[in-house]
Amino acid sequence: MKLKTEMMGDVAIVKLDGKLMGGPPASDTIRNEVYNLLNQDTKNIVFDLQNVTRMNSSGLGILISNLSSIKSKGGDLKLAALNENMKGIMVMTKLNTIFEIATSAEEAVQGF
Amino acid sequence: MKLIDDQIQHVQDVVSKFSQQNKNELLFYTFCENLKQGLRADSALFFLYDQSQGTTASYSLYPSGWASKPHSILKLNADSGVRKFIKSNNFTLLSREHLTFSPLSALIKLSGNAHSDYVLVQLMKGKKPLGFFLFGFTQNEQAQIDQLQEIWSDLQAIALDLLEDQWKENNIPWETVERNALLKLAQKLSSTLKLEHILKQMLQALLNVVKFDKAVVFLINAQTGEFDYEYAYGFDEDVIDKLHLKLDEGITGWTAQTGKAMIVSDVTKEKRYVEVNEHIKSEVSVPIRSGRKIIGVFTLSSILLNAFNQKQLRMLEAFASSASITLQNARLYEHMLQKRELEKDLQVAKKIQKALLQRRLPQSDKILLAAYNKPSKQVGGDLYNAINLMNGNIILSVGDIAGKGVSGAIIMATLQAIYRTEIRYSQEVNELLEDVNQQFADTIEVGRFATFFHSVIKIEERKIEYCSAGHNPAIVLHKNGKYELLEATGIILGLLKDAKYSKKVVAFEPGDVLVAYSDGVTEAENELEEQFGLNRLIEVLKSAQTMNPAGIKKHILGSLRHFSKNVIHMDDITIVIAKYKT
Repeated sequence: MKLKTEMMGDVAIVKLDGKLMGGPPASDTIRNEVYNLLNQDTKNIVFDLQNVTRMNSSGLGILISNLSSIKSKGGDLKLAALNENMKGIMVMTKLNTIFEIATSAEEAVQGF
Repeated sequence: MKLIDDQIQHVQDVVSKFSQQNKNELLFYTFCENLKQGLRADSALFFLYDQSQGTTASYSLYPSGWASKPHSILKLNADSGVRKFIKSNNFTLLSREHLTFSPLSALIKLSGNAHSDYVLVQLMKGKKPLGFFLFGFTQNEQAQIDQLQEIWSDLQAIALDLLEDQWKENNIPWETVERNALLKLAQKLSSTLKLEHILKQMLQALLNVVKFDKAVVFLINAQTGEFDYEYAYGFDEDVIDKLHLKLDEGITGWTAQTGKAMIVSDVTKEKRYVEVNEHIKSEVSVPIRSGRKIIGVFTLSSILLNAFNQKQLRMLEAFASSASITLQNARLYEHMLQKRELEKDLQVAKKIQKALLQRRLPQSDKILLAAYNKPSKQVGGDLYNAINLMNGNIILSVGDIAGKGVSGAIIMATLQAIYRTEIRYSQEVNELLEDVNQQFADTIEVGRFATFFHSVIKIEERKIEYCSAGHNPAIVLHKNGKYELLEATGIILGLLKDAKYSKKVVAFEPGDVLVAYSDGVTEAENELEEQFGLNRLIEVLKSAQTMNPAGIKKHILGSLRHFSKNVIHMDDITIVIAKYKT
């Protein structure tokens, strides 16, 4: 799991790349990035999932725990560019009622 | 230590027992036997390709724990089919049936052996296959295979050494080969001595050449870069707690960061010094290196001023460099021991889980039931329930915890306990799930969750009331061939304490079938990384509609196996089936 962060105004777009399958490497990488952003007072964050090929339940867990830590700092996390499979998972678990899901990172940024 | 002593003793026994036999065979027999014992396998075979005969090589067999006489040599004619089979099944758990239909069938027959599972492991020299091992297991297979895979590169290196010796054998007297082999084994085993023991011995050895009163060895964790191990010598128990230093603290920290040794002739004149004991007057601090990396620091302290000189320092540096390999090996061994402990924990967790999952399904005049659960590893995160209510109705549920291993098992047990408690109170399916969720959310940490399907089969009313917390849609296949998907009626469990779930109802008439399952079924993959999927599951279910639940279960599992072939299931698989008798 690799990631790259770009700023668009005061919103951070974190582009995730690879499989979002849980396990310390992926979860730590993402958590550290979010931690750094929150420390720099960037509270509105978009996870761009365009290059995420796979996601399992542990991956969902990563999204949830990050959402929770961002919200506890008064910010929000939006998801963008999910593939059909991941959309299906979000709908099945009803997590689409918790996460705001946009078709692209730009759209997500405009939603803040 | 007992284990290692036993192993060494065992090797010596084997050697003396077979000392009259052909010596090369003996060497491999010994090796094989040790591998077998180390892996707790029930049998081990070693095949060596005859390099001189090209592809149609014959194999020599060194059996250990097999029905045929130990140490007899069998030869097999083999074509490339065998090699291909071995290559594609390297480290794969093979059932007896699987092997019986393979090019190795003759071998299995010949040996008269009957284990339930086998594992083939190739012996490679670079890219060249030299032979293979065949291990037989009667139980606990997957754990052994994981373990084997982890240590295989080490074992392979030893095996290659042995082979090299064998090939050179004409020029080397047997005694040397034997000694070398034993030495290597002994080295291998002795390097797995306990860290504490080694440090103690090292420091005692040092005392013969340098006078000191107290010593501490700090080791750095390669992952975190922090000190994570201290061994203290000559300190009182209560002081040892004070010895936890950070990398930027004290002379020790300075040495760890700069890689430079340092003599402090008078600690009161050194600002960086951190006092741990009032009696210490002087100190020397030396880095322990592995290549360029600093893996630790050791400090010697004296109650005298000016206790250490440059000459001693140089000697200590030399000592540190020779100690580093031993220390690293010892650390690896410690980690291995810890892992074994963890494995034991896993076994306990597995037992608890098994106890929590019911073995006997309830009996009912009108409803036939079947259930299946297989954890992917030692412990899984799936759960299911099939419970007869006092009023004759039946509760069916399936849950799936995100994350496996011990933590997943504990969460699973928690959820199961909450659920089993809640279902004692008769209430609507949605109220029940809401209560379960509330308690569950209180218990678990953020990011952990479960999907859950909860249903009540109301027999007289011929309907199923259900609620699903983000779980894979259960399927109701009606007698007329039409099906309904019981989609989620609320969010996953554990996320929102006050989450609401809606109750839904689906008709359940004689001849209808309900199948609830975990995502391990629909997300099972084949070699092309395609998923089994919901559509395939529905098709399979349709084709088995007329069967009873046990037959349907068998049919689904058969299709899954056929679909996944050699791919090992990554996730737990749980299926619960209910059918209204016609």
